[in-house]
Amino acid sequence: MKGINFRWIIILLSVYIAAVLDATLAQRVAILGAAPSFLFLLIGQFTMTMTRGKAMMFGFLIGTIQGSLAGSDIQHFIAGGVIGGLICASASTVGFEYSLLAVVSVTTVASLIGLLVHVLVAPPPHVSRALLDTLIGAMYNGVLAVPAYALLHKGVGSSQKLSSL
Amino acid sequence: MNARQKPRDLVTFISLLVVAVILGKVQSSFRDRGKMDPLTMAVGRLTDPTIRLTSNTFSLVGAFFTGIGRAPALERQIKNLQTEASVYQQQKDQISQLQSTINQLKSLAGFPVALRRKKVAADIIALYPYENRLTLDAGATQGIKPDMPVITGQGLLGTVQTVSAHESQVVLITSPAIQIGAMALRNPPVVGLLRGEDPTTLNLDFLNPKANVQVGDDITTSGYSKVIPRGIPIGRVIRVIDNPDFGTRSALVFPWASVGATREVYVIE
Repeated sequence: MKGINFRWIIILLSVYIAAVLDATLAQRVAILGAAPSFLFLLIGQFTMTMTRGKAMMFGFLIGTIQGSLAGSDIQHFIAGGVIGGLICASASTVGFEYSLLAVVSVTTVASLIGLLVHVLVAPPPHVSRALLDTLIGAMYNGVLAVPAYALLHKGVGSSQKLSSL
Repeated sequence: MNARQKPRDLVTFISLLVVAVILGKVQSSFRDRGKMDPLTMAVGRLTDPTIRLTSNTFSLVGAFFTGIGRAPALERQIKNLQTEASVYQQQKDQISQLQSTINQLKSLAGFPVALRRKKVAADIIALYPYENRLTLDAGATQGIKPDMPVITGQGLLGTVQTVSAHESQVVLITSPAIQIGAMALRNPPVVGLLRGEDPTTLNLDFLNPKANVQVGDDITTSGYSKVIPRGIPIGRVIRVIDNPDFGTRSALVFPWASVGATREVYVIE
């Protein structure tokens, strides 16, 4: 019981911190106009070891928070989150095992596809610019996945605990 | 397990997307009415205090590092401004000095005596206050001769004592060593002999012991001299002194011209 609470505390705390960082830090550390998505970063960190169903639920939660913070287009954010979660959870079925390299790769790909979904469902006025920002943002998330992995892996203790989420 | 789980995942996927669309519609309908939907409101209430606090912290940290980054440039800017301020102060002082000089020259040019007699412009180049003496940068070459009066814009300053080719030594009227014919501007004028009493006071001995003189009378040169013309202002009576033992009357006079107030003078030929 204690273990379950601890895992959920880690998840909820991470989501809360990521939401705050998305609203405050993301635009400050933008590179070439592309900002990282700290919430989407969590999808790559947590859902790779989840079942697809749980991963999609987690993506749904992340998308809901992103859409609520944005104040509009919540369905687009949710779609991106759910698809991102699904991709990450499916990674293990194609031979990826939970590791730093896997998390970085999966985070980058999931971010790219998840953000692309958002761009394609609701195309902004300058699509080419938005696609470039999406690409840079996904790569940015991939880079940030390294410290996030180190932090969460240390926080949770082992990949087994993470996988049991 | 995979075969059973795939349809379930598909159902979950579609269900989540359907819920997403519903949430999107709810959000749009609230937004169209100018309101915030309950979900957005709830997330906002949960995160807003932390977001505000964190945002302020990041702003402070950002400002701190921006300040450090700009410090060398700001230091250079401050040094440049200090240099400019110093230059401006020097220019301001120069302007002030020039204005003073202009005022002096205007006063000198406006002197009635100076208009009637030929005059030589000169600058004071040395001052010996304890000897009541100064040096001018003009001498015999410029036509200056001993005993000629030296005036400033305010009035008589002294008389030429000795002359070399390009310099002149002037004895100030505050020196007890010289006597100048002077008069109080009364009707009729009251004449007497003026000599220095101390660095800020002159003494005027009247020839008539019952001279009609009062405090506040203006004193000018009397003109009973070959070299010092009549009417050059000297000062004002500040006290009248009677000496019944000797049967004399004298007056203490405050001189108008002072050395510290000017650098430019005229020597009247």
